[in-house]
Amino acid sequence: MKTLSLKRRHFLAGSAATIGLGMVGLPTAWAEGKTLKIRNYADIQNLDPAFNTAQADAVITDSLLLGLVRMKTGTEWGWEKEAAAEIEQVDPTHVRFKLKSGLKWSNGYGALTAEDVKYSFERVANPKVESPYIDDWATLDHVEVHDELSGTIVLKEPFAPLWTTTLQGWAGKIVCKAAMEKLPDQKFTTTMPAVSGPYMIKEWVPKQRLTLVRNPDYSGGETAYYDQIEVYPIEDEKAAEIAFESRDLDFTDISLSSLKTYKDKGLQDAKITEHPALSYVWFGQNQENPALKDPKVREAIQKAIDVNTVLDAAYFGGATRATGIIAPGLVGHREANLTKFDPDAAREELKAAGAEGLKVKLSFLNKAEWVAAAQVIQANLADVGVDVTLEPLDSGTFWTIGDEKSGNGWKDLQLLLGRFSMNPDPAWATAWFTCKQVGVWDWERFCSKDFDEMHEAALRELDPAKRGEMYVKMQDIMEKSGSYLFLTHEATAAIYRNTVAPALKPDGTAVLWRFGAAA
Amino acid sequence: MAVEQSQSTRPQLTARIPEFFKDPVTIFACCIVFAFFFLGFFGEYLAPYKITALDMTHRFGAPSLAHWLGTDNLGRDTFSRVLAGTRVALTVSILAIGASVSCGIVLGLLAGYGPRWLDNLLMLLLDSIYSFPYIMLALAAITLFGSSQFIVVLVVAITTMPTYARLIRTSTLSVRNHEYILAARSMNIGHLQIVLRHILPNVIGPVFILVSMDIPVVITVEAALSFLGLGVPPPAPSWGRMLNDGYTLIRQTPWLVIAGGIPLMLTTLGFTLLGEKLRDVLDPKLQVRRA
Repeated sequence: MKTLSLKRRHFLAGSAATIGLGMVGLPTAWAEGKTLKIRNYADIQNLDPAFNTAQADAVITDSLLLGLVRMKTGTEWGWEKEAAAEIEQVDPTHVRFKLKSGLKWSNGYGALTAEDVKYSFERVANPKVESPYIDDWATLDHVEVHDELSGTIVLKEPFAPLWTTTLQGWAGKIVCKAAMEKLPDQKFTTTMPAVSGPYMIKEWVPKQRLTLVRNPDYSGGETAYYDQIEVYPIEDEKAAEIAFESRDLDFTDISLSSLKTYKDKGLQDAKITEHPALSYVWFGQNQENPALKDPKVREAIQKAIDVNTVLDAAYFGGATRATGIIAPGLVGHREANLTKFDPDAAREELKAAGAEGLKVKLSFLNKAEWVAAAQVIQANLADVGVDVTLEPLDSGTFWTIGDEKSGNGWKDLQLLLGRFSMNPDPAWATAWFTCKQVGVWDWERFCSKDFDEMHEAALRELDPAKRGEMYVKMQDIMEKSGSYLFLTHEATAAIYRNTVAPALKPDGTAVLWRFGAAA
Repeated sequence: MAVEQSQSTRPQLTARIPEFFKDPVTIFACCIVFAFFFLGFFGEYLAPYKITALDMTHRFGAPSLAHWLGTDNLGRDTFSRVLAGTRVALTVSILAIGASVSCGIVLGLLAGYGPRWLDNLLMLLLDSIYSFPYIMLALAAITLFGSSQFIVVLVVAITTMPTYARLIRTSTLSVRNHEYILAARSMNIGHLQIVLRHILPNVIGPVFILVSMDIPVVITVEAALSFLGLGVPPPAPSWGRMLNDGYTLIRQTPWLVIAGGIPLMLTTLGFTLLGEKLRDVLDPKLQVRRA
C-alpha cells in the first residue's frame, strides 16, 4: 500500500511558497475576485417587474432589466436615459422615444425592440394581468411602435408621476416579449426568462444566497465593476451588522439605533453613509371605532403625544420629525405640522368630551423601534388619563389587522403605528388614504371627498407649484381629521468597506450594478 | 405492598430532613428558591423606582448608587424591573404548572383507572399535544387572541400537561390491581373514593419532584417566548423581554443582558439543584438502590 510521507524539508518549502504567494498578493486578488457581498433585507419573491412584492425584489430586478430611463444615483432626485437613446415629452399625453441600438436579450432572444417596450407597459396597464402597479400606468392608452427602435407612449390624460416614478420605477422596466409569450400565463416569479441588464442570476439558494454574475450579452453602455455580486437575505439588521463586522459583508444597511454607536466608536476599514428616507411613519386612530368616533377625542390624543420624545426613544436621534406624509425635497412637502404637543389642552379636551379614563389599545409591529415608541406613547397618554394597552404583533398578523378581507379584526383596531415605503412622487403617499382604500390600506378609515378629488386632480396637474399646493392641503385635511399624527420619514444608514464605492439613490436605496471600487 | 412501603418510608424521610439541610448546595438552592418566591410576592414593593417611569435624559446609564443595575433605553431603572420581573416569572410558573398538574392528574387518573378505550383515546390526545412544538402553539394562540400573560400561561400549561398525565397514568396502572385496591372494590367502595383516597396518595409523590424540576423549565419557556416577542406584552418587565432589549441594544449597554440573564440563570440553577435533592430524598427507588 502506498503511504503518503511528508518530510520536514517539503513542509517548510511548501509553507514558504504559500507565504511568498501571499506576500505578492496573488491570494488576495483571487479571494476578492471582484466579488461584492451585500445584504438584502429579505429574500426575493417575485422578480417580474409587474409583480415585484417589495424593494427586496426591485433591487435585484434593477440589475437584470433595463428601463427607458433610470433613477439617478447621488443626492438629487432625477432621471437619466438608460435603454433610450432619445426620449422627450412632445405634449402632455405623448412621449416619444428611440432605443439605443445594439441592446440584446440573453438566452438568444435577439435585440431589445420597441415591441418589447409596448408589450411591457401595456401588460402592466392591462386589468386582466392584475398587476398591483396598474395605477402607475393609470392613464396609458397605448404604445405606438414606429419601427424596431422607436415608438410613442400615448396617454389618455396627462399623468404627473410619469417621469418621477412610472418610467424610472418597477412599472417602467422592459421585459422580453418573445420570452414572456413562451411562459404559461406570461408570468414568472424568480426565474427570469431573459435579461438585458448588466447582470444575470447565476444561482439562488432560497433564504441563503443569490449570486449575480456579469451578463455576457449586455451592451447597455456603462459596465459593472464587480464580476460577481453575492446577495445575502438577512432580515435582522443587528445580525447584518454582526456579519459586516466579521467581514462577511461589504455593504449593509444598519439600524438607526446602531448609527450613533458606530459614529461614536468609529469603524475600522469601513465608512458610514446616511440618507434621508422617503418612507413615512405615523400614529393613527381608527375613526370608526366607538371609543374614537368623537373628533375631539382624537384631537386630544394627538396633542397628548410628545413626538420628539417618541422619536428619540425609537431612533436615538437618528430621525427627525415629519411634517406630513411627503418627505422634504418632494413636491407637496409641508413646512410644519398643525398640531402641537400640549398635554394640558389634551386633558381639558378629553374632560370636555366626557372621555376621561378612556381605555384603548395600540397595535404595532413587534420591532425594537416600535416597541420603544409605543411605550413612550403609552406613558404620554397615561399622563392625560388615557389607559393604553400595547399590542405588539408579528408582521404576518400586523399587516392584516385593518384589512376588511382578512376578517373583522379591523373593528377592534383602535390606535396603530403605521409605516409605508414611498417612491419619489407625492401621489405614492396620498394614494393609500382615498375613500376606496378604506379597509384596504386606509386602516384609520379616513374618508374625505375633498381629499379624493384633490388626489385625482393632482395626478393630472403638471404644474409643480399648483400640484404642491394640492398635496399640502391634502395633508392638512388628514391631520385635521384627528386620525393622524405624523412622526418621521426615518433615515437610511449603511456601512461599507473602504474599498467599496457604493451607488445609492437619494433615499439610500442601493443600485447594485453601479457599485464600484473606491479610488 | 404500597401501604406498607409508604409507611416504612416515613421514618426514613423524617430522618433525612436534617441531612437535607446539611448539604451546602441544598441550602444555596433553598436560598435562591426562597428569594425567588419572596421577590415574586414583594419585589415590586421593594423596587426603588416605578417600573414604567420613563427618564429619557438618563437612558443607558451604567450601574450607580442611584441605579444599581443602570437604566434601559427608556431611562427606566433596570434593578426595579428585574425585581418586578420576578413576579411575572413566578405568576406564569405557578399558574402554568398549577393548571398543568391539575389537568394532568385528572387525565392521568382517568387514563390509568378507566376503561381501556378511554386510556387509548386520552393517550392519543396527550401524545398529539406532546408532539406539538410550543413555539408553534404560541404563534397560533397569539395570532388568534393577541399576546397576554394568560396566553403564555395557557400555552405552557397545555404543552407541559401531557408529562404529568403520563406520569400519573403509569403509576395508576401499576397500583390499580394491588390487593388494597381490590379489597376496596370488594367492599363496594365507589370508584371516585378509591381513586381519591387510595390511588392518588400513592401516585402523587413523583409529581412533586417533577414540579420542582419543571419550574425552571417553565420560567425559561416564558423568557424564551418573551424574547421572541410572543410572551408578556410590554411594558411588563419580563426577564425574556429584558434579554431581547439587551440583545438589540448590546452596543449601547451590556447591562440589560446581564440584568435579564443573571436572575434567569440563578433561578434555573436554584430550582434544578433543589429538584435533584428532592428526588434523592423522595424517590424510594433511588433510596433502595443506595441502600
